[in-house]
Amino acid sequence: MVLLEVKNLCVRTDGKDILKDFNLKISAGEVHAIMGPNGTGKSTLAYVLSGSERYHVTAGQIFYKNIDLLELSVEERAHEGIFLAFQHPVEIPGITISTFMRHALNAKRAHQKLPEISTLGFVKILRAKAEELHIDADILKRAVNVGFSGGEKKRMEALQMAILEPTLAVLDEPDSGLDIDSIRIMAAAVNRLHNTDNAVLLVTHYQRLLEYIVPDFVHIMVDGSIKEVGGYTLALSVEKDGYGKYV
Amino acid sequence: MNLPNFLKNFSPPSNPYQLRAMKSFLERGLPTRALEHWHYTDMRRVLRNCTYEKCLPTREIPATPDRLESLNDNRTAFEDAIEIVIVNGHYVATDSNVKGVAVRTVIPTENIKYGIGGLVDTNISPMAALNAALQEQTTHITIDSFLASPLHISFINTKADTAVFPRVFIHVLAGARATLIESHENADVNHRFVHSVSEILIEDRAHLTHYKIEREASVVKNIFHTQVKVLASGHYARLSTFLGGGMSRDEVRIALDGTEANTTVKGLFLTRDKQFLDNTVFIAHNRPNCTSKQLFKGIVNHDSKTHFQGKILVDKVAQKTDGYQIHRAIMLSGNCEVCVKPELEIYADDVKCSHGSTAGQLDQQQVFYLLTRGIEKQMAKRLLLRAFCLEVLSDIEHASVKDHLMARVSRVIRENL
Repeated sequence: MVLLEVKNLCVRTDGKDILKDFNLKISAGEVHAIMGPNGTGKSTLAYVLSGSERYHVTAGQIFYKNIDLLELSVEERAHEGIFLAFQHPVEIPGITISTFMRHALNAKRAHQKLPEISTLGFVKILRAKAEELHIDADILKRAVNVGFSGGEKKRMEALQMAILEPTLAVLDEPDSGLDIDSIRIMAAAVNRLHNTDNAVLLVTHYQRLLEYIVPDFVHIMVDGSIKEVGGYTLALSVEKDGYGKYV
Repeated sequence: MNLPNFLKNFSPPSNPYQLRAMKSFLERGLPTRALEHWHYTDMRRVLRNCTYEKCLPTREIPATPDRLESLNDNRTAFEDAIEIVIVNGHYVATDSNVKGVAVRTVIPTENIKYGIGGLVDTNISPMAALNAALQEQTTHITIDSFLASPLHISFINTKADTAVFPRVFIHVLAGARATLIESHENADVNHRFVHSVSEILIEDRAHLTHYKIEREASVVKNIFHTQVKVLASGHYARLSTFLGGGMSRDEVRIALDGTEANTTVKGLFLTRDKQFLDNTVFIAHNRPNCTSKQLFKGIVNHDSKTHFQGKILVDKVAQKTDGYQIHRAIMLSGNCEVCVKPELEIYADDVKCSHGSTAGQLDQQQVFYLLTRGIEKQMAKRLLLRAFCLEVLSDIEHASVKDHLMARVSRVIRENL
């Protein structure tokens, strides 16, 4: 089943064309990786999928579960199962991870017409998920991302993903700034989530992460569009030869 | 003696003490923006076309149901507190026999005997002279030891179209320690002018933690004047919350008059509709090794206006002063106004003083982050606004005060968005 179809998408921000006639098709059960040099529009794609108003779609269409995704608000997309793991998660002083995630999960459950989970009930879910991902329970009482190291922030993104169980997980450079142990935790979170009903879209510079989350498809993106599509071996050849030949 | 127009229904004072005070007020008149520390409030404009009756003491409290409910909220929240109720400026004896606290009523002609008026310089604060001229009594409170329960002074006014001049004097003796809750909340929604003066004397090594909760009806005009004197190693911590009121000015003047005296002054305000709020803080570092910290935060909505001026004055003998001031506001509408005027006046050379101020919208990146997790826009904003307020409320030691204020603030945020 086709989960996501991006057709001839053109996106502008700050008077600059970023995505140019971009196409992508993702089916349930697949893992896709988009690789490319800096400034090529990879993160823009991730933000556009999540519904950021900073970017203007000037042409093209996005269908997700056969719905016109561009008609949905940011929070509606989240309710429909789209999750963006941020490259640079923001700090939110004054809101604990527990409160934040309880509201997020209950918003999704309300959309699914499921009963609200109590504070106590949620704490149990949160602790269990944190343990699965080897995340120290003490951190859960702290304010969202405040004073967290790069690795801790990324682990929090992984934890949020594990709790919200998205249908389409979009991970924007989940490996940037991470040591090898953190990459393994991130990869474990993705692999634990992934099944035949959902899909993962990884945006990354490097092939290293793909050793742990093996993609079904690797897309090489340069200057706002896909230049080549292949399997895992394409990632290896790019790692060896660089992006020079696509520029 | 002709009283100003808004008090034309009042009879002039009859004793020499209050006559002198009235004369002193009339010489200066109502403060206008020409006075530097009245930069944002012009009392002549505030009181133009207003006339008020004198308010006679009464215990009756006419109530609208919702306001009565919120008053009862207060009572339950602070049920462990020692209650002092001041109705229309008059002390109503409740728990005056509580150990460690002595409460007495002082009539104006005895003010000098009890030091009332001694902390206020009426040359600088002409409105305080007006209060002295028209007040009927002062509630004088002495705290001589450690108070395990907080002291709750509840200011209640019951009469429509009246001017009320309550006055309290709080004397915290050397080494004593207390928590004070001051609430201004009424059961009715009538027009009124309230001008209250509080004098607080904190002796050596004494500590006073002071929470002020203002949630008046939107037609009430409130002028608060608090004068504090802190002696050696004394500590005064103040947290004011402004959750209502039509026109309010809160002036706090703190003199750090002993070495190693310190103070923290915090304020939290949530304004809406056409509310007007003026927070004016003046802290004088008069001795060495004193510290002062100010933190003001507010959420400003609709056509409301909030003003803040905070001055730190460091005397030439006040070496090793540590003074800090920060003001942050979130503006929720295009029509609201936030004005901030920080001032440092420093005559000593070995001091650390700083100030900062920000005003703007909610952080859009934070809002977006919450939205991507499926949290509805309105809830996302509420969570972020609550979090913004939390910085001011988070280190309240007294659990019942903290819970009460958090619940109150959450409710106002809900009503505001």
